[in-house]
Amino acid sequence: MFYLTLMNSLSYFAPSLFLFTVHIAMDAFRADVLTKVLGSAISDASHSQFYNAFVFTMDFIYVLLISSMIFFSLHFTNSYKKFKPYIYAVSTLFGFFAITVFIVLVVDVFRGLIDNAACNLNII
Amino acid sequence: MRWMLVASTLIYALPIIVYVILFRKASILFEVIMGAFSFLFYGPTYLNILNIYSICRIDDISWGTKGLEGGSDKNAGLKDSWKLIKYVHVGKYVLWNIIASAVLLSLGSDYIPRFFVTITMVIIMAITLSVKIIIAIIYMISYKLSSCKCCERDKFV
Repeated sequence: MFYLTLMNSLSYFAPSLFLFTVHIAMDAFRADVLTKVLGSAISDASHSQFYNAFVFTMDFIYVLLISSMIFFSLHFTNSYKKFKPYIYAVSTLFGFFAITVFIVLVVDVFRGLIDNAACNLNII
Repeated sequence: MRWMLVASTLIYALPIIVYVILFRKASILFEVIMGAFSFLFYGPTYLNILNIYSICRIDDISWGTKGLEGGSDKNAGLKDSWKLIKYVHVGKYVLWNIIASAVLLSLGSDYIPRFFVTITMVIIMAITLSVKIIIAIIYMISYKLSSCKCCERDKFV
């Protein structure tokens, strides 16, 4: 019973939890990849508005997709002509979001573990 | 923390190893690895899109009634009240998710609160995974034992 209630509550808050995960992953992507790729063009990485805007733009796109989906689901059924292509597109975009989050977090975790191991070896 | 994350993900390997040992079928590893990508890809669809659509169509009873409810205007008031309940329900859903997102994102702006939020999420994930995995392993072992008993009975017959 506890397990089912926990799962229900998690699925109820799934959009916000996924937004948090996307935010964390995009922040890691910004710190690890974006600042290095665009380092020559934008020098001040920590205070640059461009780097900070990237994370919030991704959050905004996610919120926009969720909000439009709620609007479409409230007002149209699946028999509406434009509904299906839209839902398929949103589903695909969410899938790409999930794959990106997974890849970024896996790379970040392993990079952190390798760096920690290197630090420990240096201390020894 | 990173080790905890790796460990909670590697728990997935436990039932697969038990399955390979019990049923001597290593091809399941390939199936799991290939299925993991589609599972990841469709995860948000199952969790977000289908949930949102089901909540937003909670007053829709047209399915399974073969159009019987469509013709009569007797229950128009009832339908309106269901629609109102639906809007209240969706409004609560949106509001709670906005509050949760605001709290999580504001906690995630600093390193230490983010660490605690992430570790809480990892612990919840590890607990739910552990419950599933323990039940799955018990089920596999009991299934294997019962099938072994059946084989022995067939030999005697």
